[in-house]
Order: sequence, then structure tokens, then C-alpha cells
Amino acid sequence: MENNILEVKDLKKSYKEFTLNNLSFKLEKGYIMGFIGPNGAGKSTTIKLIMNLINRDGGEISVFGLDNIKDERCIKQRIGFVYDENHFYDELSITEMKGIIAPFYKGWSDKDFERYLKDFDLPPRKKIKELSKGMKTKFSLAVALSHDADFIIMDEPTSGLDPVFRSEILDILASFIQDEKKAVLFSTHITTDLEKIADYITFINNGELVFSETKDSILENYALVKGGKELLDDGVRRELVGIRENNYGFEAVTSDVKKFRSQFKGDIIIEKPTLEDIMLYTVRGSKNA
Amino acid sequence: MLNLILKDLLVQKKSFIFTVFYSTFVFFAFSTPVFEQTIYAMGTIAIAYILILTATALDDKNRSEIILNSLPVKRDSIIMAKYLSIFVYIVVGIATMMVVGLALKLLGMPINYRLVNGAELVAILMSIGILCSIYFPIYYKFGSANVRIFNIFLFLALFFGPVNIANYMKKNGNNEFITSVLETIRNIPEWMIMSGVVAIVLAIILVSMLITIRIYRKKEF
Repeated sequence: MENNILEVKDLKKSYKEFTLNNLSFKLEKGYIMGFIGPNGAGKSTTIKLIMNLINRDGGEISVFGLDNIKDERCIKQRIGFVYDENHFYDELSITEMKGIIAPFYKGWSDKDFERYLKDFDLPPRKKIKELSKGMKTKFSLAVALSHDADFIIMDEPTSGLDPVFRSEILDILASFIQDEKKAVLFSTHITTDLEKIADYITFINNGELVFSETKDSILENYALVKGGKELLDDGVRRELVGIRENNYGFEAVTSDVKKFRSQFKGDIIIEKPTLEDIMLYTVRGSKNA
Repeated sequence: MLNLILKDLLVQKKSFIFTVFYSTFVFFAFSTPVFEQTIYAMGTIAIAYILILTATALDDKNRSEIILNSLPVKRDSIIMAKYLSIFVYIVVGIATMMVVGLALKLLGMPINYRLVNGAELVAILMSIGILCSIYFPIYYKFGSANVRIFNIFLFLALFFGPVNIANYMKKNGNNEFITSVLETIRNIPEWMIMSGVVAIVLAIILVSMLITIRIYRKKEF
């Protein structure tokens, strides 16, 4: 049995001003992976490559152990997708749009779809263009969940949504993943959402992989470090990324808190970081490098 | 494939109100002896072409090809459905003209009502087939904003082109070359000319479809 729902290997895609460079990571069944990085890091590019909406320049992508281009139709039967923007025909009602999409999926269930409409308070007769951004996302999610998909891919689904909507979506994903044969890839720059539900975090910056690990090990190994300026010698600097200095002191992130603790004693404050801290300091570090 | 064709009809259900108005207009404007033999062609060509353009314009406006290409459907099928829909829209156009014509006749309006004739059918297939064979590859290569202007010229050329060519021929009726061409054509039985035209148009549509499929396979969304 194939254990990986998604495996990305040495993925390459070049544009004039941006290159996705040898990206590799994998996602096992039963887990939610958060896919983070600043705007323009290559998150959407990666997702479009997985969905074969754009052509890759190199590398491999396999979904359910199958090549994403050779077995595209078979794979897409089992993928549910939610994108940042709404690309439905906006003159149609929810029911009409469903009527267009449903026949493409062998596993489509009207019963499931109607249940989600009810759960999400979506009025079936309402036109797509009359829906709010949150409702459109919920509609996409209802479609994604109504054809017995094993893999949900979401590109910035929570951007522009209020915290109540976001938390509802997170609950739905958490219950989706109860079935351990399934998996979710979830790109976002709202990292607090991921702290709640993600099992793995894949972080890319400037088209390059920074890390792809379990959330727990990341939060264990990384630390936010603060201290007086006088402590900031070359040895300390080498162990830190994204150092921010002011007249009084510095703040930075280390990726190996055990090593840091053992090497540097003194008045250094070591705190538990958030994913956002890790992302911000790493991005800043790469800009200064 | 059928899903994709039905989708194009459903997304523009409002356009069908337009087709009813337009065909009514055609019957009132062109129910004169001059257009006696061509009124169905005139109505159907415009209706079918406008519906085909509206379908692609709606895909483009909503960027719905991102959704379509995320569904379990082959890119080739999306294009094949577009080309097959040419025939569907021709049927829709003819049906609209016939039904509206019949309704007007029953209401006692002074219009010419008859069945669509064979020459009209060939003319419709030829015009729509050629228009789409040029339009689709350009639309899928460059996007709808860029084809808009091109489209207007294309439509005008096909709308007024034949009339102007006919006038030119009439004026230069004594020209030896034209006379000999016309003479040759006159000697070929009509059914042969018609089937020849149909065969050529179908071949053009097929070639255009293969080109568009190649373009669409490489397209990025």
C-alpha cells in the first residue's frame, strides 16, 4: 500500500523573475500539512503544478503513488480543491453550478452536498455572484468534500475570511482527517490557523524549501532569542537567523535551541516561537544574506 | 464531453432571450423578396456565432478554465467539446428561427415562413465552421481581450465579403477568367458542389481543432 498521498521530488519551474528550485517534500495519509511562505514564495505555483494547471520544467509529482500528468484524470477523481479566488460562473446559482460539476465525479454524492449546504448555511438558489467571499469558499469546500476525495488541496482558503469562518473551516478539516486514509495540503500565510490543526509544516521561501517537518519538532527545535547587544558576538550571530538589532538589544530565531542553550550562557532570553516568528525571521535572514 | 457542451448552454441561458428577439428582428427586417432565399442563413449564422462567442467570453470572464482543468477531465476533451458545440449551436440557431418564425406566422404577421433550405444549411455550416476554425485557435492562444477587435473584422468580412465578391463578379462579368470559372461551376451538379463544400469545411474544422488541442495542451492557467 502506498503510504504517501503526495510526493514532490526535485520540482522545478522557472519564470522570468522567479524560480521554484528543486522542491521536494512528501505528505503521508492521515495528516494535515500546512504550506507556508510569504507572498511570492511559490506556494500557488507548487499547487498549480500539482494540479497540472501549469507545466513543470523538471522533477516529479506523484499523488496516491501515481504520476500527476500521466494519471491526471484518475488522480483528480480523488482530489478536492479549494482556491483562493472563486472561478465559478457567477451568473449561476449554487444548485446550477453543482449540476455542472457533479457529473464529472464518479463518487459524487448529492446527499453529502446537501448536508454541507445546510451545515454551511448556503442557500441553494442564491447566485454565485451574490455570495460573500466566505460563502464562496464554503461552497468550494462543499464541492471538494462531496465526491469522496482522499486528498484536499487548498490554496489560501482562509485569506480574507473572518476568524469565525476560519475556525469553522478548520473544524471541518479536522473532522475530514479523522478518516486516516485521507490527507490535506493547506497553503496559507495565516500561520495561527496551522498551529491549531497542522501535523506537518512545509515552509518555502523564494522558491526554495526551508523545511518540511512535523509541527511539533519545529516548535521544539526553533526558539526566539532575545538579549543585550553586547552578547551579539560572531559565535552567537552564526547560530541565529534574521537578527533584528536596536539600541538596546537584539531579537532573532535559532533553528537548534539545544545547541544554542549549551553554547551560550548568560542573560539571553529564550522563548517558544510561533510559526509566524519562524517565518518572519527566516525571510528577513534570507534577505540580509 | 456532453457535460461540457451542456455547461456552455447552461451558463448563458439568458442569451436565449436575445436569440428570440434577434430572430424576430430578422424576420421583420428581411422578409423581402431580396432575402427570400437566405433569411434562415442570416438569422442562424448570427445567433450561433454570438452564442459561441458568449460561451468563451464567460469562461474568460470568470477564469473558469482553472476550475475545468482541476476537474477530472482531459484538456483535449475540453477543446473537442468546444468544436462539437459548433453543431449544437447551429441546431439551436435554426430551431430558434423556425420556432419564432412559426409563432410570428401563427400570430398573422406578414412574414415569409418556410422550411430552411439545403443551400442555407450549407451556407450556415460554411460560415460558422470557418469563423470558429479561425476564432478558437486565436482565442486559446491569446485570450479573449486580444481577439475582440480581430473578431469584429472577421465577422464583418464574412458578413459583407460574399456580397462584395458577388458584386465584383457582376461588374466584371465580361472578364474571361471569371466567366470561365462561373461556366465550370455551372456545369457541376449542385449536390456535388454542396457536398464538396461540406467536406472542405469539415476538414478545415478538424485541422483547426487539432491545432487548438496542441495550443491548449501547453497552456498555463
